[in-house]
Amino acid sequence: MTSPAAGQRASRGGWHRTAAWYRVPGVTALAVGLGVAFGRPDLVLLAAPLLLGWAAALLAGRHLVGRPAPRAVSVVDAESFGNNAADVVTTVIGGDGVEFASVAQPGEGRGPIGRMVTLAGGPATRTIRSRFRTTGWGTTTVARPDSLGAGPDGLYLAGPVRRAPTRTELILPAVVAIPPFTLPPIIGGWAGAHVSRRPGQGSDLIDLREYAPGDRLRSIHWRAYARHERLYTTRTLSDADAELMICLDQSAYFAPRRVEGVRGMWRRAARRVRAAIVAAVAAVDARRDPAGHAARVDAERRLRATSLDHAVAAAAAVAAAHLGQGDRVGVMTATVPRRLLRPGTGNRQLQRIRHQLALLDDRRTRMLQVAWWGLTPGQIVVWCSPLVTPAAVHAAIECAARGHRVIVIDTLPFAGMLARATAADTDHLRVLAVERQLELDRLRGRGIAVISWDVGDLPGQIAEATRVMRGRR
Amino acid sequence: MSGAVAAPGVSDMTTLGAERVPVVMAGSGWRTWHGWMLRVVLGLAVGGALAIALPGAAGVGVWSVAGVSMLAAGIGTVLAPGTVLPLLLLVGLVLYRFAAPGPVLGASLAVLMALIALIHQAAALAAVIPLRSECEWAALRPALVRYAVAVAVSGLVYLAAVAAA
Repeated sequence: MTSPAAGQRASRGGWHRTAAWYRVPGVTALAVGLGVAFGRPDLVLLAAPLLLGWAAALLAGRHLVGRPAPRAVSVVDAESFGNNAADVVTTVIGGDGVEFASVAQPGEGRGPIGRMVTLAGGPATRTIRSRFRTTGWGTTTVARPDSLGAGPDGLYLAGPVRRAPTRTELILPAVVAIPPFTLPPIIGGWAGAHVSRRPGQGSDLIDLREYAPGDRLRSIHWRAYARHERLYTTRTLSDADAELMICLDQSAYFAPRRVEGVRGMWRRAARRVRAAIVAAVAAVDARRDPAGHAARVDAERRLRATSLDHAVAAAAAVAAAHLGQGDRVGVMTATVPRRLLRPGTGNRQLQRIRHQLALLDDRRTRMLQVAWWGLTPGQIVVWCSPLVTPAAVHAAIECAARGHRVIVIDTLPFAGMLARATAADTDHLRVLAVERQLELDRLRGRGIAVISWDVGDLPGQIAEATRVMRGRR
Repeated sequence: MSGAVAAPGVSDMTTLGAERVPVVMAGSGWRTWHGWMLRVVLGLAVGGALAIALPGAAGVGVWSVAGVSMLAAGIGTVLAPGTVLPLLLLVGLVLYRFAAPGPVLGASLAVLMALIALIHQAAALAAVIPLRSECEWAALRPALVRYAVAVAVSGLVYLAAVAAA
């Protein structure tokens, strides 16, 4: 996708002379004038290499005046796009006769203009391939090929183009590997990874009964035959799949406080210097302890996450875990307008879910009453919510009251909010935390499992959730 | 060192039309310059030229107003090579040479000739190559060739002048 408006802004004249073009005549005139006037041949000699180099550069670049400036166009190599990584192919057009051209390239983790590459001129078209990788999701600017063309010795310049046509792509959210929930016996379904309470073809043994004509030979219990010399067959519980509906709460949106932009030249300069020092220390740290550095970067990234980031990450992880074991998973926003992806199975369903998640935005909308959610009997509800409003807590309780198994994923980015909070906000947040803890305890008391995505240790929390669900009465 | 070089294993075909064009993979090699290296070269050239010119001038101390102005112009040339500061520095070097006593065609003149041309060319290139750019060697080759030819020809003229004197 290219922004036409950005493309119109991108144009900036053709070739023009730089300060270097005018520098040599000025210095040469001074040196030769003084040398001739005062009989100093050394001053004339001093200007000789300057003048020779300048003349040679002028001869090499005489054809540039009047020519169109080189420009750059980026496309995303669709075949290699996936799992948050993209190969961006940038073509520099109009490079014949140009001495060199610099073009902005995306960098891995460094944004759409993460690096500059300077290419030699010569061929009319040059192509650069760069790898773009981001930890973000949603509609993202992948490339913005700002460019600059230069003539011999930098005497002529075309550009710089600072707002080149951008290339945006829909980045699907990454999938965090988590174990699936161990669900209590399920009523429906005929095949899957969960046990049911209904006798049938499955793996969990109920008891033995006497053989009757028509029973399958493979279900005969041969050890019982050896002991009693009579044929017995095993009765098992039927296996079952589960149907999960991941419900997203978009009625509330929370994000860590953003650091205000610094005003004043000196303060901005000080911030840049500090950022450069931090980046240098981080680079040394990354070389010395790559694993520890990656963990610290991940922790810092989590501190910047919003409630929507947590909800999207949780939904993608739960969907992947359960689709991987054959369950049916759907996703819906429990707000107006309601967006629904019906339950399905397989990898294509996971791609559909990630695509739907990538389209979400941070607009807050009104929550729907549970009666209008369209839940079908037997569905397991995964409720992703920051749980800061009574309506959100009540929705979980009402789902449970309607007979659904409910797993609540708390998506409030509390650690990040606390880390960036002002002194006044800190007290307010601590009170909020106490109030929420009371609500969460109320949910757990009703047999509703609650997992905090912000806290981490997901396998441990999922094991605890299993214990809570089994204790439900 | 990372930069833009021909990518090993990458086809030189592109999806952009049927024309065969060379493909480079950014950040996958070592045969590159960085923009900041050009500033280092410029800084060394400026430092060398000032070291030759400043002490040699008659009656003008290094820590005089003129000397400090030259140092400031030199630092400014390295930090902002696209401004008027390189011009001021070169004019100052010519004036300092004008004020210098001693042999007119000495060895210092030959070194200063090469350094003044290097200051001009490195400043011109540093002004148009971004500081954090990864630069192909081939992009700088024509400039290096022009510099070498200009200095060589000027050196021959210098030798002829010395011989004639």
